[in-house]
Amino acid sequence: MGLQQDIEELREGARKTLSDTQSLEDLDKVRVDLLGRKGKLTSMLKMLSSLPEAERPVVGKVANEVRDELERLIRERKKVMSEQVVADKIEEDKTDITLPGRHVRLGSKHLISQISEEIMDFFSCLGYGVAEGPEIESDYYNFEALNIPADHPARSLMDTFYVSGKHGEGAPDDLSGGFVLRTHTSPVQVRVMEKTEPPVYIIAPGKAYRRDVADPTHSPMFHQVEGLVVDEGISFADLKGTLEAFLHAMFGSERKVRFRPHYFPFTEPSAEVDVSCGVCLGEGCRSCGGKGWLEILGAGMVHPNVLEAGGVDSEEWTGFAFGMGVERIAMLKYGITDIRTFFENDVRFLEQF
Amino acid sequence: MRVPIKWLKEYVSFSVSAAELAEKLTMTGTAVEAVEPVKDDTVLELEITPNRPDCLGMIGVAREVAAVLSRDETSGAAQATLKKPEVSVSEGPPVPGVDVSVKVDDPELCPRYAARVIVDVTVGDAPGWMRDRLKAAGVRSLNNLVDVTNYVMLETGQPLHAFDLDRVKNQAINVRRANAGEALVTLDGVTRRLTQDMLVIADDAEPLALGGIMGGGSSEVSAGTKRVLLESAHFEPKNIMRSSRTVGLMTESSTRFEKGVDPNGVRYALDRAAALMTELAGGSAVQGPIDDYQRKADPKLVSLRPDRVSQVLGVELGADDMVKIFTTLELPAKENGTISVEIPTFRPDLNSEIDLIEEVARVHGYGQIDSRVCRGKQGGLTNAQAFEHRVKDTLVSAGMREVINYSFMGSEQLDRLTLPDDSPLRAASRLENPLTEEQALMRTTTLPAMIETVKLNVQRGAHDLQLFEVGRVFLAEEPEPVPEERVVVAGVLTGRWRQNEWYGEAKATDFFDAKGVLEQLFSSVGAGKLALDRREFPGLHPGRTGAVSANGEPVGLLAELRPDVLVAQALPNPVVFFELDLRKLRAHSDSGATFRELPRFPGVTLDLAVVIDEEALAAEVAAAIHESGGALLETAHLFDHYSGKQIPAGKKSLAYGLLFRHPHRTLSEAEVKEVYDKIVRSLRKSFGAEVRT
Repeated sequence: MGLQQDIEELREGARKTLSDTQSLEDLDKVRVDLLGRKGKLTSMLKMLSSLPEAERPVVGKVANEVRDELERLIRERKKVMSEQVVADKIEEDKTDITLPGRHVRLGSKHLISQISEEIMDFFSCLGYGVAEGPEIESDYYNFEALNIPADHPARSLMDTFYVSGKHGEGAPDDLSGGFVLRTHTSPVQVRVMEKTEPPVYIIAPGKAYRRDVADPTHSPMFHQVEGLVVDEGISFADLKGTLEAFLHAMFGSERKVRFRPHYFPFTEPSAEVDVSCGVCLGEGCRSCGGKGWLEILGAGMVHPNVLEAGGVDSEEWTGFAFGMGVERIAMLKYGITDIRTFFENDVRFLEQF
Repeated sequence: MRVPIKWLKEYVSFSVSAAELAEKLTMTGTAVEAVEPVKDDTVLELEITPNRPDCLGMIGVAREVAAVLSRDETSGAAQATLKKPEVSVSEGPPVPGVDVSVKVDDPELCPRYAARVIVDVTVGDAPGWMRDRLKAAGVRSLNNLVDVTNYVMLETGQPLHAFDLDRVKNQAINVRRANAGEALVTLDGVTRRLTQDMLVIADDAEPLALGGIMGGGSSEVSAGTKRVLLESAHFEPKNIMRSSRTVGLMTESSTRFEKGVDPNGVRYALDRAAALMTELAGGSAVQGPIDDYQRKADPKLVSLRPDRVSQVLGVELGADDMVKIFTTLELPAKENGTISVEIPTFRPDLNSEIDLIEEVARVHGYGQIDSRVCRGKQGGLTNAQAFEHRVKDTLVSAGMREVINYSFMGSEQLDRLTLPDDSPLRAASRLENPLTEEQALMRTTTLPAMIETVKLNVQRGAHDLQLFEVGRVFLAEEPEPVPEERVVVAGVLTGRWRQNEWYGEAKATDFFDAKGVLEQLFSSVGAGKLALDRREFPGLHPGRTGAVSANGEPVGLLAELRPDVLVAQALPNPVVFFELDLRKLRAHSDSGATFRELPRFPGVTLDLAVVIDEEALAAEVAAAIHESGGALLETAHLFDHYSGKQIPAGKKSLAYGLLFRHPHRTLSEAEVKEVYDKIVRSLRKSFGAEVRT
């Protein structure tokens, strides 16, 4: 009965040891000590063969039971302890997730650039190319070619910056003529027509200058986007549809758009284009001065004289042109009340966009 | 132009409300800026475009109102027709002592000069109704004589002038160019120097008025005036505009003449004023009207093809409809295949077919035209523009904020940068009429503007600035008559790159933050490796300034400002600045990426730290490492740069992480050692470098 008793004692001892074991490492040692190849129970099992034939089944049964029980206890203990380890790790890792995150610093694009790009994207999708022209422009392109001859009332010495140098009538190739800071982006129209056979679909973003002392609504430098289409069969209907689509994209389709006859020397018929006030939707309120409408851009059918100046046969081709102030669009869109804000470059303004 | 509704109704009757009329006018091209209630009337404030001088008088506005309302079916065409006041002048018999002569020397500048003499007038106040109307129209009442001239000007658009006949020497009116050295004290009491380009109304002795612009004080009507010489004339617009600008005097009269008054309306206005004067101030018109009309203006014919109208407007409209529109505008029109329109002289803006198309369009209504969207065949940005966008996007993702500065600069700003007189940056285009001296030059560099932007922010308490701008500079180098416009990308960095955070300390921005930004930019646009060679520029820190180049070509500079310049301008230290020529940078950019097989064999890493002369340049050391490392050295990453206690004076320590790899097999330890030793030998030979152990 010696071996059986030894086995029973081993069981009793192992039960206690296992319940006292605190770490996975110790548990593994206990397992090896009991069940490993040279473990206590393993040795006892090996001794079974030395027992008399009659005792073997009884002791063997007990031994197997003990082995099964110890394996089970070890497994259970291991599971409990593994879970504890994870639970401890989790508890240890717990942190204040409301702390601010770490940032990769991002800068920002100037609002004027953003709006210009938005405009370019819209017209790019309609198949317009993007053209550019010089900011120091000849008298010819800035005025003459746009149907604004010398002494035209639309030319006002007060509004134009003149660049020092000789003054002349300024024919296209005559660089001795007068030069000005372009007062609008419209000169690009003629420059493009001179270089491109119709059809022409372009927009021309850029800086323009007027000799205005800076105040909340004036700036000596500002940004415009000019548009020009010259194609067969272009009519005022195309101008309307295109600008309506653009303004709906820019301000939202709930805004109404209206076209008012106006006068520009380089387009005829000409229009001023208004969108309904975003605050009152056309009813008239304080922010639109009670008018219900906000003036947003100027447009018109390209004047035959301008087409001819660009070398385009005005009988064969027709076209429309438009021009808009980017600052004005930005001001209306975001409720900015002082145009000087754009050029002060206060970072607290830049950060907002 | 202020239009009191009751006054307007003298010439056209209508039943629509002031608000409805305002809407109608606005939508046909006469923008109503405001509808303002006054006393017992309503005033419309009209914005008259410069092509419509005919609407600078009530009758012209009434004609427009009649035309636009007659198109409106609800108001009824019959109601809205123009009625011009009948005029009859009570002419008295000739009076002894009245014998006015008019001599026009320059019919080019004064195509028509008409006048009447009215005697026995009594100067006093104009009646209340006239004063009310003038007031509502925004004109101050003076006395019955002057008020009549103003009233008739507002009514007809024809400016008039009343002289005190007894102050006209010898009753001899001479319309001539001013003589050199002549002067005139105008009604406002200012002495005007006259030039030979200016037209004056003179008597035998001296100028009495600056023709079409303002009268003189010496012949002004006053309380004692008994006899009036009433002038109604036509003056050439361009000369009026030039003279008015030269003397700096814009008046109700000059603004009308410079836009073009109807030469054939001269007589009507004269008679209308004469009739009103005799009615309100008594007396009678005694000398039959003088009318010197040397350059007669006639109506012209302009023809219009009806199908061209549809073509330009994209609207189907019958020729009879067009004729109707012209008729309501008092433009006699006949259709015979094409439409022939007679243009009266009160519409100087109508000269060609397109002008008539505009008339049809605006009276028919822009709202009646359908909308259609046309499309181009191919659009999008040019390569240069796409490049510009890419540059901006990269700088934004590198933490920079875009600014837009004015394109101007002042020479004092360049002085503050201690630029010498012969600096190419001083070769700037000058504005003839700048707003201020600080904005008198077109910028040749963005630096002065960037400095101002930093100053403004610092003054407002914003110290951490990492800013960039993409814009043009204007290089006015002789002998080019027009400056070259170059697009540059510029940046300025100062203050903290990162503020104190719970996970780390604040970090100040320095030269290498800016260099890192530029290296990222080079990498993003595929401009290869950025090379920086030390250079000296005025105003910039000699130890921290370099020319930036791409593929060996200089494209710009990167620099800290000189410490003394910073102190003098109360700027924080350091301020790092860069400016690159975008076109040059683009020339060295390659947006097309190339694919390399991914490495299939493990690399071997080894660290190498060397002690080397302080003067040795990191870029040269790196180049030597790569050259000696050959094909097996994949990267050499500088991870430490140190000089101090553990290193002998005059030396520094550089530490590199070296990565070796063979594309087709695993490298053996011996192979790596061989290359490593070669690198060490090379550095020792070239720089006297010793491996630091």
